[in-house]
Amino acid sequence: MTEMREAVLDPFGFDEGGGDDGGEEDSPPPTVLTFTLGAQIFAVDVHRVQEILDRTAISPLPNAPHDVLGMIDLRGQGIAIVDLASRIGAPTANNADARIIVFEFPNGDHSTSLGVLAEKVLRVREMSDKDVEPVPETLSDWRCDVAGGMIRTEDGIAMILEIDRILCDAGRPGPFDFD
Amino acid sequence: MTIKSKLLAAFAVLLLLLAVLTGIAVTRFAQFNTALQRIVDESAEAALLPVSMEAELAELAATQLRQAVLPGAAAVQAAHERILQHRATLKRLEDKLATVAKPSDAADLAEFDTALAKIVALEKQLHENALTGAQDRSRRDQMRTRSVLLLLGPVAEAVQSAQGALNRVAERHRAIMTDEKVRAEALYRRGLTIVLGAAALALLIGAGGALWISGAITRGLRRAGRVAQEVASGNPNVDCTPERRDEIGDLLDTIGEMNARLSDMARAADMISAGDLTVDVRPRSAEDQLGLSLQRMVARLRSVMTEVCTNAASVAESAIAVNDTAERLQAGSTQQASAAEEASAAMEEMSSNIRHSTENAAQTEKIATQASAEARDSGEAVAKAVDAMRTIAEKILIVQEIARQTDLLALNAAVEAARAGSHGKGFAVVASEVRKLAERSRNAATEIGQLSSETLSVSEIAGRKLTDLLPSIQRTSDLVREISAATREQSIGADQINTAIQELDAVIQQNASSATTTAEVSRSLADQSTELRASIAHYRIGRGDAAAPSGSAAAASPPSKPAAKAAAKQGRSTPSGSSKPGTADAKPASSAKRKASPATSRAETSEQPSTPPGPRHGATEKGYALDLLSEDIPDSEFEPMPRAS
Repeated sequence: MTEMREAVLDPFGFDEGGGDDGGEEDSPPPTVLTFTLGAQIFAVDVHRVQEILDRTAISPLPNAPHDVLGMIDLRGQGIAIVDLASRIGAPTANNADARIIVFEFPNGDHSTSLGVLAEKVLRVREMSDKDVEPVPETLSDWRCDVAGGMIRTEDGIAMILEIDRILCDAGRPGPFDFD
Repeated sequence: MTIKSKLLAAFAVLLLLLAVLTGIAVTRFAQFNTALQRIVDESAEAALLPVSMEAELAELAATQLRQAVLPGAAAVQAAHERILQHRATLKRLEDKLATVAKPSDAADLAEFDTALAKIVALEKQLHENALTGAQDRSRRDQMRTRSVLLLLGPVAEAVQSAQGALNRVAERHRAIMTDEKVRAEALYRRGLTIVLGAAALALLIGAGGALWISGAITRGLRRAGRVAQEVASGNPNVDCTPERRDEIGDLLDTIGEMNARLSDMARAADMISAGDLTVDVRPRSAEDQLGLSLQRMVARLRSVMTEVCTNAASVAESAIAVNDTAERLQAGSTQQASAAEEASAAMEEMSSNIRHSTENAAQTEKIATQASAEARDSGEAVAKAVDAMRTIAEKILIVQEIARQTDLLALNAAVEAARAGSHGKGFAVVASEVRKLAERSRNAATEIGQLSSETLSVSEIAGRKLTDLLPSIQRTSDLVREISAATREQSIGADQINTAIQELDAVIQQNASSATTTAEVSRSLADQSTELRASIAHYRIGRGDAAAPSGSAAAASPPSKPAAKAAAKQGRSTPSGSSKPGTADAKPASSAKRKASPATSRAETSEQPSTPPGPRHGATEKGYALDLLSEDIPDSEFEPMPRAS
């Protein structure tokens, strides 16, 4: 664990979810939570993170879509667990010390919590905007709207995930839904 | 006088006496019979006839009375006829009486005749009276009275007179009969006396003769029995001379002859017992069992004695051989005894070594048992250590879990701090420090866990090895215990072997003494066999050879080799037919010698007439050097010298 004393930037520049955190975007430097899925390191905005849990038993939901693994009980609240890996094309976390990262999204007058499986939660780190590198161009029709960029961390290059877009835009075509 | 003639004489005398006696008895019986007949025929007749006449007379008188009394002419006539009949009968009886009457009766008979004539005369008158009375009834009673008077008067007198005469005659004859009877009795007595006397004489003579003859026979037979008994008991000198020349004398003679022959046999047996087996026993006949047996016995004894001679010689040799063997046995026993002593000493040493081994084994066993127990304790200690390690590993897992939870908490805290923005900055630092601490403690716990798991595996290996070792140690302990037991048994066995060797030693000592005794016994056996040979020399078997010397000579000194060679040469030269048959046949030995050594032949031939043939004689007397190597013959061609008689 290294010292996280870097300039905090807002790498996203969008707050379409209308979260109350977006109001104070300039005061604290942007902070991300890094975690791994397979060999890849992903980074998400820490403000969307509600809690990090140990992996517990996941109860399957009837007639759930294929990318919904099931639900867990968190202090009397049922939380659906979404298969993030299948959505972003990463290998599913199956290790025993996997963690469940519970995200919190504002949904009207209340907030909705969704859980994803992370293979390993690395750290919470601050970053600056200049640390953000753009996603390399592929000269193809690949839309990579879920990846907000890349940052270099002490653990390696981490992909910044637009977690809101990935999890909340269920009606929209997914990143790999080609028309 | 023989018994037969004696018997004949005695029976002749007896038969003669019997004949005389029979004659006397017949004569006397005849006399007696005559007397009796006279009594019956004459005297009794004469006594009885008067009685009959008296009865007839009485009848006549009664009929007269009836004639006088009865009425009717017919009755009178019948009575008269009856009277006439009675008178005729009387006449006949009187005539009969006259034939047997004695002269003394004549007077009486005449009186009777007179009385009868008177009765007859009166009868005529009576008959007329009766007839008159019957014809004339008126005069019947008169006539009757007259008749009765007649009857009572003269008739009765006449009848009485006649009766008296008859009674006298009868009386007289009765007296005569009594006389006759007396005489007959006397006759009978005399005859009886004579017969009895003659019988008594015959009895005396018979008894005397029987006593005499039986006495003679008994005496003679008793003597013959005594002599036979003497002969049976084997007395050869019993006196057999007969006292009388009779059949018993002949018997005694025969017994004497038998005794003489038995004495011959006894003499032969005596000679055999004295050792003379040359005695010639001839059986007296084909049925002479004793003689045949004796002959067979002598033959058998001869062969047996010959065998005994040979066997005695071989027994002597065997006794000497046994003596040698016994001495060797004695020496061997002494060696055995010393060997047994050495074995006993070695066994003692071995036994003490084994005892030492036994003690060592016992100590080893104790140590092994202790080691086994300690190994078991160590195994338990290691097992406890392994348990402790496992506990530590479990506890370390708890620490790791706590570290992980702390890490999670720190993460959440960091998340919260980040969400708090600038206000949570210090808290973020704290959370970061906490997270670092958790990381360190997790690493330390992981290291400890690794170490403990390594220790655990090592301890488990150690425990397994100890567990593996435990049976080995146990097995070692058991084996050591078995070794200890085996050594103890070995010790006992060694003791037993020691005892056995000592017993063996005793047995060997006994054997040694037995061997000594055997040597002595065999020595005395040799001496006794020599004595036996000397005893056998007593017997002479036949052809003038004493038994033992020839046997001993054959056994003791076999024919020497030079003599045999010379004999062989002589045997070969004899059938070959030399140029001089006379000398070669007569003196084969000299020719053999001549062939053997030509150098000395001349000297030998000059001596020929004076020296008798014989290789030994020539060799010993003259001392010839026989060239034995010149003409040696193999044993297969050897021909024995014909034995000179």
